[in-house]
Amino acid sequence: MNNSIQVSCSKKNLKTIRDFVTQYLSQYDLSEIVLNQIVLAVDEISANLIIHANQENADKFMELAIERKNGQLLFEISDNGISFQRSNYKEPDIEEHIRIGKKGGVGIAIVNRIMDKVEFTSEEGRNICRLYKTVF
Amino acid sequence: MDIKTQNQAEVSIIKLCGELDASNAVLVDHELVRLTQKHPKQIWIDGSEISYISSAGLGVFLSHLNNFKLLNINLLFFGLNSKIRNVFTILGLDDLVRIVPNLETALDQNSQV
Repeated sequence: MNNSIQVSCSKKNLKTIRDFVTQYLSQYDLSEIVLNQIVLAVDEISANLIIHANQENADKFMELAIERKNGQLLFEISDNGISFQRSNYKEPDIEEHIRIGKKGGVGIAIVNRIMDKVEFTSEEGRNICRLYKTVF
Repeated sequence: MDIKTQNQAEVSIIKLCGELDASNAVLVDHELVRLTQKHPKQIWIDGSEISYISSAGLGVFLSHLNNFKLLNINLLFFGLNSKIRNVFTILGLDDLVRIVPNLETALDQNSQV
């Protein structure tokens, strides 16, 4: 089964990514809720890369590769855009978001709550986000 | 994402059909803004045909909550399937917004107010 996909940095490709993850995970006996959570986590990171790191520039590309490793699923999402600075990240205060009417800023919190481990690295100018999830 | 709005006496019901993500959340935002200007007493979201929601979709509703409160507009969700409801739960939104199982429950609770 093909385990990687490359798409241009356009928001319409988020569905392409979700469909790819869903198709890949169909080989495993996951509950509908766990499957949706994993798809959601990958979608959130992909949306951040497309919108924030690459400003929806369809001439730029991001890549997703999935593998089963040591009893875990590993999702590796990479691009050449502006890197995410984890040191600047603060967990959102949802009630404060509501008070000021803020629309965004909760995607990474969702990813952190779904995945077992979330890593952000830059290797030779390429930004890589690795998401680990134990489902077996 | 397909958006169908039905206006009744004091309740506007927005039925959302399909996948609500970063590519189309703005459409729901525009619909909520448009409806708010009509000052309904209640806005109910029929989520029975929502097959997917991301943080961008949730964020649209979060961003309107305070304004709805100031305008005395009650927001309610009904018909969410278990995986969509689970996404609300991940962020603790099920404690911050009113969610009922189905339209009948919404109507029943509304008639008791």
